[in-house]
Amino acid sequence: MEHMVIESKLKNHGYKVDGYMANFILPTRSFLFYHNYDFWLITHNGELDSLDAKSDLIREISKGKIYIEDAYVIYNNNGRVPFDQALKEERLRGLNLRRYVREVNYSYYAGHRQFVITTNTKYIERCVRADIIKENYEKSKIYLKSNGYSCLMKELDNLYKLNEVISYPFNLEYQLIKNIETLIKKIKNESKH
Amino acid sequence: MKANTKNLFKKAFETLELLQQKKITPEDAKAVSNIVKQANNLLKYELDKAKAIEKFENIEIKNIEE
Repeated sequence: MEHMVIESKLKNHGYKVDGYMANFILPTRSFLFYHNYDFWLITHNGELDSLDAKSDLIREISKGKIYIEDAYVIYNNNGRVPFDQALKEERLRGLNLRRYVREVNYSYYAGHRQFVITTNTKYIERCVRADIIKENYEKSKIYLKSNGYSCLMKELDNLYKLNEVISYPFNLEYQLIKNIETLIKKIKNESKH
Repeated sequence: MKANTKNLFKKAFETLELLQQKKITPEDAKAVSNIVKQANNLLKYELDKAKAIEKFENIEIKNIEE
């Protein structure tokens, strides 16, 4: 888990922050976001309270276009299809390597509806790195617990669920082997041109 | 890198991408694909063996290979 601390404006402007005042300058607010198969913990002092500020930060880090969408739609479209089944469908369609899906970077509630800030990510790459996502999720859980951020656990679970890739190991092996064969054929065809 | 199916798939995928972007030569891509193919054949054999063992009780390895 990456932990990014946004220093207070007071500190940045050269004010003395020792002694009793230091307590007020320590980051007091925090939120989680997901990027590049890892979870980021951001602690700040109110600078990133607004959604615009959060969007700007995500845009800055992901260096791409961001989208604001309904979480329900993303949850149903974005990987609820098991990876092995998706691989089979992809192979039958000719294995499109340029297929993009949305990576959920941040989720928030407006009224009773949940919205998400998303960026584009390559579908196959995301699926290949499904294990890394799970590993980072487990590590992040431990980090949050041991550093006193247990209140963010629900947010972490939510982000993980929105980015999770489902697969059934035994079918997956078979589908992966078949897809490797297709990829090898593609490489050989490309090499001829 | 462990030679499991996911990593092989990733390697093949990356090689194809690099080839399409012309960051590697066709010869290099062919060489990588040949290695991936050999490793994939081994994994395919292992998977078939596991399936056979699961399907038939008391089967010996030499029976599968024959």
